Amino acid sequence: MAISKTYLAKSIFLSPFYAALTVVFAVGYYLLFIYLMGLSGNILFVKLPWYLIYALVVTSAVLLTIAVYSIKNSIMPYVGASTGAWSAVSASVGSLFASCGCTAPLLAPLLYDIGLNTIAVSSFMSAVSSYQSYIFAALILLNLFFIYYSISSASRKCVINRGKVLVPIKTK
Amino acid sequence: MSERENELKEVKKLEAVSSSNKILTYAAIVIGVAALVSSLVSIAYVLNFSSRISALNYTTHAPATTTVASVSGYNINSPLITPPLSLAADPIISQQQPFGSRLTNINAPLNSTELAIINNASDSYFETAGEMYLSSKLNNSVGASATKVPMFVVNGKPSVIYLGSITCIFCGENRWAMALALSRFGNFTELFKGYSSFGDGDLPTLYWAPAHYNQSSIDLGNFYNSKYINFITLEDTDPITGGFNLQPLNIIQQEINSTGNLAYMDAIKFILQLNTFQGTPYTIWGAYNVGGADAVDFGNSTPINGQSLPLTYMTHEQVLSQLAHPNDQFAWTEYAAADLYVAMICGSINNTAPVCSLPAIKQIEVSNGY
Repeated sequence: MAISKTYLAKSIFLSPFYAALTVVFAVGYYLLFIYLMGLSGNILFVKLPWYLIYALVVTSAVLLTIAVYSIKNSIMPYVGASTGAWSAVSASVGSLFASCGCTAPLLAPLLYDIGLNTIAVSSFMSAVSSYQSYIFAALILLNLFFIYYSISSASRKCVINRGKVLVPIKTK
Repeated sequence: MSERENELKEVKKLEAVSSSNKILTYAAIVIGVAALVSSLVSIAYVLNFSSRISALNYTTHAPATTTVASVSGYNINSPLITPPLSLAADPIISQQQPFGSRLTNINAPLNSTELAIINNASDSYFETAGEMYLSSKLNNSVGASATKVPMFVVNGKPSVIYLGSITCIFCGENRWAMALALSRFGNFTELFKGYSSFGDGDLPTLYWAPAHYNQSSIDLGNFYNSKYINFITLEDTDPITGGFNLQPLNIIQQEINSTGNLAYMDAIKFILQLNTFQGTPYTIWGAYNVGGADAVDFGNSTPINGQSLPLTYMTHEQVLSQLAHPNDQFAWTEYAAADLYVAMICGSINNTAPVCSLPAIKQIEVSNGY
């Protein structure tokens, strides 16, 4: 019988291995943020509320843990791979945007290299600076959606037997 | 029914339910793959696979220069713009206001004593700071990679071009060093007290001209004279009580074109042609272009994440006092940042100005390839 989403989430995150993995991923993503913002010089005056950065780090780490769980247990591994990749990109895009202020030595060359010109680059930077919080909120919401979707999909594929979550037998 | 059949039935039921999720699943795969690719590309660039990244250098020495070869230089004759000495809609504010949200003395001209600190700074300060820079004795960071660009020559002199914003924190910090550097090649008859925006540190700084601090505009021109170089200043303005903002450069270009001043019209055209803009302050020093901020010097101590900056709690008088008698990291770093600009100009004018003979300047020219 399929298990509830809550039960599956609990069984993942109360497991010492996956709990530790989440912490490791969160620390990794946080260090990525610090490193990139340090490179751009903007770490001293991040205009974003720090709770938004923490929220993005935590949701990305949780998503990556669920992805690892899915892949390791062969529960819709393609979804696991996709959401895991999304987790990485949300953290790296977030850190690039967080490091963008009146100067953006990391983001600007990327934009030139994809073919934008000075006007487009300056407009993009202005927009990012103006809407940084909203961009972060959108990334966090997308992460939450993928967390819900991954757990929801995985829970339908799992059965419980004697208190243990089991992956169902494949029929095809 | 056997247990095995029950199990299979249950699984089939589950799969029927999940089939409705297939579209979402495929969407997730597409997003995931796109995400992975873009993530890898971003990380590759960030790890300096792109030679155009010029992140600030925290070890004090600027990386080697790169070259923009595809753009032609300019050699024109044109008067420069002399701005008004005051703005009715943006008056001097004399009342004392609290740090972090203060506009005390904004748009007030520096008095003669204050102006002399900038114009008459001792060469020995530049030399000492240059030596500190070269021997990595500065705690604060200074220096970014410069790009070799064609010269923008007006009336027979190469130009220093500045594109910044009064709202920008890096511009606020950099103007001190810029003013010191420019003072080695000429002098300012006027400079004005200003601040970065409330949302960007509220740092005490210098304005090249009275600023439209209550509105979106572009302030052009300054009160600088030199026999070696021109100084062309494009200062974007937005309400100072907000955060950092920069009008789109095509809007700035339209505003500049409406002045009809050839030097300024060509200066913004030149900036747009170079495609090296990485943020403000954007500066061109003769044959060298710094695409964005190139120093992190916001006080004697380096605050950690999220802490407020020491410079926020300093007055103009305190900053000027430190520059008049440099004895701390903040002031030495400002002079060191000025040294880099001086070296770039010296490298562009064949070292014809007296300051170019300072040993530290010569060494910086060699070590940084100017």
